[in-house]
Amino acid sequence: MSNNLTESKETEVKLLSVFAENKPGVLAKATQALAEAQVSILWFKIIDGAGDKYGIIRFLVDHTQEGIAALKNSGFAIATSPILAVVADDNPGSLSKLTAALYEGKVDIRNGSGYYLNRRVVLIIETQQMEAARTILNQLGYKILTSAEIKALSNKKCS
Amino acid sequence: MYWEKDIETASRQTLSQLQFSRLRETLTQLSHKSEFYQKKFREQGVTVDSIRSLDDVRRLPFTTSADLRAQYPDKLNIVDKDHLLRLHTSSGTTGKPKALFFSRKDIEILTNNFARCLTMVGCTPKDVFQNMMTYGLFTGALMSHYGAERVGMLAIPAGPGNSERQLMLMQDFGTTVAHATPSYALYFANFVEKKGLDPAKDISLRILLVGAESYTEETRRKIEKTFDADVFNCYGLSEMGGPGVGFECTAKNGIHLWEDTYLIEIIDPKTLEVLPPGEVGELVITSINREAMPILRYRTGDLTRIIPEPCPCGRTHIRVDRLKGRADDMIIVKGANIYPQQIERVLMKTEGVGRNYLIHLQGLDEMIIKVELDANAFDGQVSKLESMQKSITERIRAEVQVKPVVELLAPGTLPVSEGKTKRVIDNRSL
Ligand SMILES: [Zn+2]
Repeated sequence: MSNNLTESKETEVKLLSVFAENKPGVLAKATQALAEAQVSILWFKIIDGAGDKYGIIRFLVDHTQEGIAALKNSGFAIATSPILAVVADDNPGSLSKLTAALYEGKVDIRNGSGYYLNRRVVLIIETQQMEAARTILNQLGYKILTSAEIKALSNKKCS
Repeated sequence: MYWEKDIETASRQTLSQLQFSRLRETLTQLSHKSEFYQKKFREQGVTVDSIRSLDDVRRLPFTTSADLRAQYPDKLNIVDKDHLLRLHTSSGTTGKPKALFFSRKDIEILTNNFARCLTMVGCTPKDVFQNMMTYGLFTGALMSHYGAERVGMLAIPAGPGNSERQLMLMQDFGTTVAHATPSYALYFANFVEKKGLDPAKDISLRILLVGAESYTEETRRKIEKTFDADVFNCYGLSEMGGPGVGFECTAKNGIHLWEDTYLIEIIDPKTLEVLPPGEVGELVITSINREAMPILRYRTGDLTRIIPEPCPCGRTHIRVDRLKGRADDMIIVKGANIYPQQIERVLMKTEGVGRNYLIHLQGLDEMIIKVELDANAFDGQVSKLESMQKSITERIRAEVQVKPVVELLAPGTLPVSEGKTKRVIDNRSL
């Protein structure tokens, strides 16, 4: 899925997905595993499966490879998926402008979430049409973060 | 490859003659020395002389698991204590265990039979044999250990569990053959993968002897694919001397049971009548070459059928189908008779399903099937998990006529025991 990306693997931002049959327990165990590996969680989200018996917890972390290793070593079933981390201003209308543009460009957003960081919003966009989304967002002048920039942001936040 | 070509390929006539003379000898011994069988013979109205052919076996009394327990500790032994070499026990879920005695000759025969089994599947003195069965009162490990040494293999008495050490032994000593239960083999594969290794490439196993629990053809394929090795189904039971009662040959189509040591019957478990070859019923075994503790017509509780066709491997000893589970494994849910293996077959065929499962019965008559995911197939998409869950639910309903609740679990979360893994937990409040 990520092969048609213009960006190289190293700069691509990835979410980590952890299978969670017992959501609170898994969240606690996973965050502990990440903390022990000195990996910071920038954002997470729980997606419920059918019947609410299990779910998938998605993490955006500062150090992706270390995060993957830490979770694997703790015995989790994990998967990674490429996403676009887009910086938007914290202005009314900013989000609607962006989603409207993607909609017009026939980009199907599978999952979208956002979080605040230093008075700005980082939008996390998951889509099958990564390249199209990237082109549209670039044209509109949105800043798409690389994995190195994600790391740097988290450091700034900590300082 | 044959261990003893003459006897393994003997004609039916030769085998039958040998069986009959050994049966007569067994009956003679029992009628002189066993109070238990003397009483049974009287009740059944049989004498040794009235048994004139192999067909007359059906006139002999059955022996059950309950009989063995009732004769605990040593009432079924018919030789002097001086002649006894080994005691094993077979534990049940309740009550006293079954005590099983072996003389020097008994151990010799069982060792030789296991060497036959190993040679049949291609083991040679060049192989390194890592035995992951439980050493101790259970027959599984010691008997196979003796057999491996008899072949001349380097035997590593690893015992079960401690996956870290199993892996170390395998890598450091170049293990080529392992003996394990199906559930441990799959659990161990998970462990190896968690170490970041590929069980197919990073360990040099070429043969896995898998037994002590019944499992499906689908599970065999899964283990074979995971380890890139041949899996052979072994059949044994402590009451009959342990793990080498029968083995699959390289044709992987049915288990050869050694007929110079055992007399095999398949009966209808309800009417107790002997069934014609090919029909599914309960396997009944008579030991005909046993010194310390001969057992007549032992009801194994295992369901299978005789495969009447000759085997391409050239061996003439009887073949039985992969065991269909034990008669007492059957569960009844919402009025439907269900064998856990029917459920296993569906699960092991499903892409994305991992290596362990549990059937949980609860409430009024609810069947919950807990299924571990395959870590390698997990892609982080909820929709894929949902469709897998739905497909399993529907296919199991089609197979057993009861709609289960399917729960997905993370890999490695269900317990794996070192002995027989419990596949069904029944907490119903019926
Ligand atoms: Zn054969």
